[in-house]
Amino acid sequence: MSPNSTLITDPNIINRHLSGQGLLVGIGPICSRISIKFPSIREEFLHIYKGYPFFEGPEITDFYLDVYARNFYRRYIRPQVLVNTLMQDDFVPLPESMGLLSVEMGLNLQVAYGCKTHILFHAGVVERNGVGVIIPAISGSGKSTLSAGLSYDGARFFSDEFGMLDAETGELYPYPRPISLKNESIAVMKEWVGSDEPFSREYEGTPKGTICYLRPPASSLENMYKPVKPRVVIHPVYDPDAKPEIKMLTKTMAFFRLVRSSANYGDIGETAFHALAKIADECISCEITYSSLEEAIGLVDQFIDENLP
Amino acid sequence: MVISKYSFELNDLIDTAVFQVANTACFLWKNIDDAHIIYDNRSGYSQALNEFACEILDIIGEKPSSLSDILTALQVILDRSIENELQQQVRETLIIFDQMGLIEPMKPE
Repeated sequence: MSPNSTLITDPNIINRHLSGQGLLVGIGPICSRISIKFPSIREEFLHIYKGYPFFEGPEITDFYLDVYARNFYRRYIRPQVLVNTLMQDDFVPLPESMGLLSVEMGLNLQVAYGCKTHILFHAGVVERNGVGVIIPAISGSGKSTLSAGLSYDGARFFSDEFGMLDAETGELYPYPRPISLKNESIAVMKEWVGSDEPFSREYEGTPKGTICYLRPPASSLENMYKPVKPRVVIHPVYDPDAKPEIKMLTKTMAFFRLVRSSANYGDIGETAFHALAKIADECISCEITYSSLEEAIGLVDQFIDENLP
Repeated sequence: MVISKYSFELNDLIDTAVFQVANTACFLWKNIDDAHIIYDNRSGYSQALNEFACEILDIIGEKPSSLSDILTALQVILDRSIENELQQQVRETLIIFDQMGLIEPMKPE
């Protein structure tokens, strides 16, 4: 946040910015200017982004997102949503009822392709009892559910999608956007959280099935500018029929798994090589296999307790 | 297993070509566990080499070498004759190095 920008809390001003030139949303190290031309999507956005810091300029903006209708008719007749990110991307229009997905996907795409200031991991990140934990994984392995479950069990939530490492300091920065839950994990997390309030409505029929967003805990949002040193890397594998298992990884395996999970390792180059080698060397790494969220959290705690002094 | 035409050509070339390390200035090294991790600045790729592969790369790095030069140098280092199985491993290592872009055949003078 620049010294001249002002935090805004008045709902009318927030709505005016969001429907007009764009609302500045500062999440961790990234500031995005978001403009949404559909009232229904604005309402869903403001529900799931309740408690996030909104600013009015001047502010250095990293990313820009405009959610709009292609033309006047598509605004009202079978309304369709288009996204402009100034990245010459070619988003498929979505029905208005799935508008929040366009916002989240548009922001994700920009971070994945546009972020060069931090080394990016396709990973969940949390701070558990002062320990920075990276949870890299491919889609479907349960990293979002595990990150969310740990966060609603006392951990500080950093992200369920992007681990952001400052190569110079070797610290992870929070980027606590809403958590994207899919299919069976939605019911699991609703039971885990014990309230429907922090959830968006459920979006059915997407290419990934049903999607629902979960707002991170308020304490994680209040601390979204505090970095942490990574000390543990955990690769989760969800298998409903498996027995719980922790498998230690060698440092070499840990290094190459981190390389595989990094979205911009090749772009950043030498600095990223040194930073990832340092994490592989200094962190403890393992793969956990689990069949339920409770079991996964137990394995994470067990691994940390048994291996960190 | 799919073997490309390129592999056949390189296989034939292995016995006669003289290899040099592409450009050592482009490589960064880290030793983690018992592996040597090499980062190629030109491609942005990282590879892990074991002790044996590292030795072969060192031999070629010292001076451009043919397969027979490498086998002779290894014979001195290991202090024993190089049996067929090990020769085949050296051959395969050279093919992989070439594919990784770590070495390249020199132009005949």
